[in-house]
Amino acid sequence: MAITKEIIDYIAKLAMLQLSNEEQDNMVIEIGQVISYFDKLKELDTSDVDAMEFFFMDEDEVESSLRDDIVKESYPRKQLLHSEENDLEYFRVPKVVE
Amino acid sequence: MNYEAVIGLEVHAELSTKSKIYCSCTTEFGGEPNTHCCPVCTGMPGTLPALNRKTVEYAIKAGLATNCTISPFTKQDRKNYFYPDLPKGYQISQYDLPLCKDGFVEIETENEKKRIRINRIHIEEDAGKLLHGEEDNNSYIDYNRTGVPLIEIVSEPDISSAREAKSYLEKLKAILQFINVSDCKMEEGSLRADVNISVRPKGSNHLGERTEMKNLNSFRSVYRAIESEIARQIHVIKSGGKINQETRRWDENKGESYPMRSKEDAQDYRYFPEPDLPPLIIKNELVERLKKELPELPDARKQRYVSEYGLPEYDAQVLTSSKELSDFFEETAKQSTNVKAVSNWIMGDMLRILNERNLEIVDIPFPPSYLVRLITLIDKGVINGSTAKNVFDLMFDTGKDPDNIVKEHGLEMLKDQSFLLEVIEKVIRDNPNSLDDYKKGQKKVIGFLVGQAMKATKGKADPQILNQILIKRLED
Repeated sequence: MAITKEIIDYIAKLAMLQLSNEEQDNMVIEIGQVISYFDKLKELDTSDVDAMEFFFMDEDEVESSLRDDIVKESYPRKQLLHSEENDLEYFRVPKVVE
Repeated sequence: MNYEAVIGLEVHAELSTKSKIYCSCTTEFGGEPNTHCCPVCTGMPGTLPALNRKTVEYAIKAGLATNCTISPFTKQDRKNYFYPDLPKGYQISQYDLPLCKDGFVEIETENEKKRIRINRIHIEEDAGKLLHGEEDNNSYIDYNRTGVPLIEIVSEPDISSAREAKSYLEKLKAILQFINVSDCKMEEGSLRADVNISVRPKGSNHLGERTEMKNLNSFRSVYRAIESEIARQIHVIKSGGKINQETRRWDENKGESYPMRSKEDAQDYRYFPEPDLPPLIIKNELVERLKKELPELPDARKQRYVSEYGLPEYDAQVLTSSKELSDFFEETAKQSTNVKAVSNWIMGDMLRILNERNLEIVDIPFPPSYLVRLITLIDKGVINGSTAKNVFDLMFDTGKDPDNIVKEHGLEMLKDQSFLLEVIEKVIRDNPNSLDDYKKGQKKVIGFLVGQAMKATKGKADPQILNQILIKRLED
């Protein structure tokens, strides 16, 4: 798959990133290189290997990955918000309007 | 040309687990902003989610109660979008392998039962709350709700009217409350609905272009928004226009909807399997255990009220519309020998008083046994029906039991014949024309005179005895 400037532009928009022209050009090259690794991988014949969406895990391992429904203390807000100095109660971001 | 509506609902219900879906913060509603948060639910780098077992169990229960198939193998996926109410930049949800699928619930329409199919139920995490600064150029975020577990219940487009949509939603709410997996408080946002609507010429198989309506957080909003959107779409089509596929926001105050500014490319969520969580293998033993734990569901209860108590379908329907109401009725009916009266009192005066005083069932200041005693007082002829209504009001005022209220206020029925005759004589003396009218054949005056006599005894006269004495006196 060829990475074009249009694709970079589209992905940047989805990620709400503003890229300069130069950055876009660089991305075309960098992401293009990453994608081409996959083209390399595709060269290997895997027709007799089953598709695996996940790493292997047996039922007991899945079971033990679950957490019991127990409430523990939350994080101190001042630390979470880095608000030691300004007493902020909320996370603050530039205004977003739909 | 006549048009028909095709409607599908996406219902989000917050699960009533104690802790959040991927961390141990509390799910409690309210609380000071950002005090129910930790590095996991605020999406700090380097944190890992750990799935709450109860979330899975509650969602499976919801699936079983709505006749779904439970997937033996399921996984979670990332739904990517950037909005500040979502701290990670993605929501962990389920994409192509939902936990439950292919279910249905039955609703009552005007003349028949109708089956509304459920496409899927999946688990996901709730987002935070955004506040927009009035005076500054900032938005403020409270992440307390972020990570509260949700199920999303997606119906097939089997709904044809606002009324059916409301019935469907009421049925879902009742089921989720009965099985105790969600409190479904629409006013607190723990039950929310998005509605997809299109219209087409009646009888057509072709689906029209649809719109999605968001921000519906009361049964009333759902009903009004659908009525309004159906009318709008038919109007657009009849005047030669075209329906645009768009998302609209309902404004409850104005009673109309408007299109939300279309977010370009917003529908490209780039789902992919959540790499931080293993897939889920749902063992049959778990499903069987949860199936056994399911209590009697609203439909079954309703049928039992009809067969066991001989209640009319309609009464049984109302009484099973919420778990609290149904439990209150059940408790009362169990102790009473007059179930029909119990049903009448609950459906009539009790619901009226709750409504007038804006109370919930849990706010009722007396136990069900007090209503049983009130009904016994009527059945034994200690008080009459109109006094009983006053006593019931006093029970809500004071929480006292009816026997005490009757004693305290001296409300026992007056049955003393000579006393009642005296009352009647006085009423006739005060209304001399009535005797003549009666003799001229106007039987209506009986009602009037009884009313006057009742008034004179402050409603405490035994109506039967009063009637007998009055007729005897008039005939003499």
